[in-house]
Amino acid sequence: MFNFMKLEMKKHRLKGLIRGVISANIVILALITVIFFAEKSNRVIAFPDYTTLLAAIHSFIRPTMLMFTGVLLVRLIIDEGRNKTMSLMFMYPVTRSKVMLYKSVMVFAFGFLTIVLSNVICGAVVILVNPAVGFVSGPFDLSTLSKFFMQVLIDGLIIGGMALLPMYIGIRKFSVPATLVTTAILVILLLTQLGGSIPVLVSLSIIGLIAAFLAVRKINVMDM
Amino acid sequence: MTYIIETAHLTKQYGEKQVVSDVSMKVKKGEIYGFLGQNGAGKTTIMKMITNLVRPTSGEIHLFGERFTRDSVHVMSKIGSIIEYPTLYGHLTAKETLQLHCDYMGFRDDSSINESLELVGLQDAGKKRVSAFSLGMKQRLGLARAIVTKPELLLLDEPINGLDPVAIKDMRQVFKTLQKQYGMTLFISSHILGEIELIADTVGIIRNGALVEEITMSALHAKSSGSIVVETNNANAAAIVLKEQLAIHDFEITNEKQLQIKNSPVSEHEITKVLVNHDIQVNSVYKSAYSLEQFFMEKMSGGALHV
Repeated sequence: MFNFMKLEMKKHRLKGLIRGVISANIVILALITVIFFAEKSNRVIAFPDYTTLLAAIHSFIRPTMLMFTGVLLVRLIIDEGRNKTMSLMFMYPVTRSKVMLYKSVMVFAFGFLTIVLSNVICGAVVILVNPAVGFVSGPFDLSTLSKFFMQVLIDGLIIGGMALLPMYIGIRKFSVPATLVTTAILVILLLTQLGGSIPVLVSLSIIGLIAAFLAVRKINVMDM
Repeated sequence: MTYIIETAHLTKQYGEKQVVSDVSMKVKKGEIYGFLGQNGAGKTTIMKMITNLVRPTSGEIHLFGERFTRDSVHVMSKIGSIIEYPTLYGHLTAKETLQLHCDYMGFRDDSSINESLELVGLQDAGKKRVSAFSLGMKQRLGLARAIVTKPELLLLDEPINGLDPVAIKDMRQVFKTLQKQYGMTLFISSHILGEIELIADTVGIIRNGALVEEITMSALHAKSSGSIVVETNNANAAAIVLKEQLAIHDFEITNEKQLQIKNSPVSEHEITKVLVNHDIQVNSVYKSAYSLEQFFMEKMSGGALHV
């Protein structure tokens, strides 16, 4: 499985996408800094404590990484179907269901890992530079951090599942716009009040996993 | 006899329309099998069923003597193919394309990458991106990819489409090399009858989804014996001599300079001698070869075989 994933990464030039994720992290850090100094000039404290600061970072990371994961879904599955390179994949000595399963796992893992790692990296940066910049004047304690980290892990899993939801819609005609629009709708949803509702997100994530399962089953019997 | 491909009553139906009906064919080990048929006759669908891309509605496929099902993926490592047109990744170079293909196929022999690029004449384009390739080069790269893992069976769907005459001649040589040196079995579909005639050992002709003929080329050529073509400057005068001197009546004047004798009781030599003796200019006298094109056209029109 890991060998297959490595080949997929090489074939689809996923290094480029990862570079994009890194750039996005830098932009998010820049935004946080801008917000902090803008509020400071208004004599408002933007981030009273670490919880608010980390939550703000996380609220930027979540929709951004969902969008990146949508792009990965397009590259790994939708584009291959549209360009008919999928039929080449299906002539390799691997069953169709495995090909599709591995690709879906990659999408899920990418959503999860980019969210978790981006939070870890951005969080580490702000905590490390805090003594110099002074984002937060309040105390730093490990229990805040571990509580936050738990939430990030759960959100990572949720977003990973959600990212698969557009697959079912996308494979109907292997349509890139349909896939990206569905992803964009989910991104917008994350930015509304519904994005804070765990039941809503968990349901969407479960629907995403079911959608992926149905999509794999559909492709399994599809005439290419 | 070992058959590499054997289908039994293979049928594919899309809705009401039967695109492949009851096809039973046999491809022998080590031969070049020419698969002929008009556009939309069902050639590609059959090739897709042999590669697991399309599921048959009914019927069976045996590959390498083994029943072929959706889960027989291990067999796929013994097959190289181009179906419809070579589907390539534009952002990869030619070498990367082959390297990745080998990796996915689980084939480890890096020397075969250069070998197959050389065989198809792309040795200088290895580092070029596929998106910059012409149609002919893509076709060649598709073939290089199909053969890079040294498969036992090569399925090629219209492999010479889009190639220039020189490249077509090269390909003919490549196919022969693959058959003779590597012992591959080649299953080639094509519209270009002249090419198939030059390379195939057996041909299968498909019409409206049904296999109307499967015949070895030697059997096809044997059908041609008996007919003699005479080329002269005056076919009418020659006809009179043939009738009066040789008592040949079963002939046809094809045009004013050519006539064709069916079931000739005398040899070409005798005919030439008599014509020359009666002062009729003879340009050439030869046994007519029954061409694949003629045969194909007869099969397409549904007519009986006239030789």
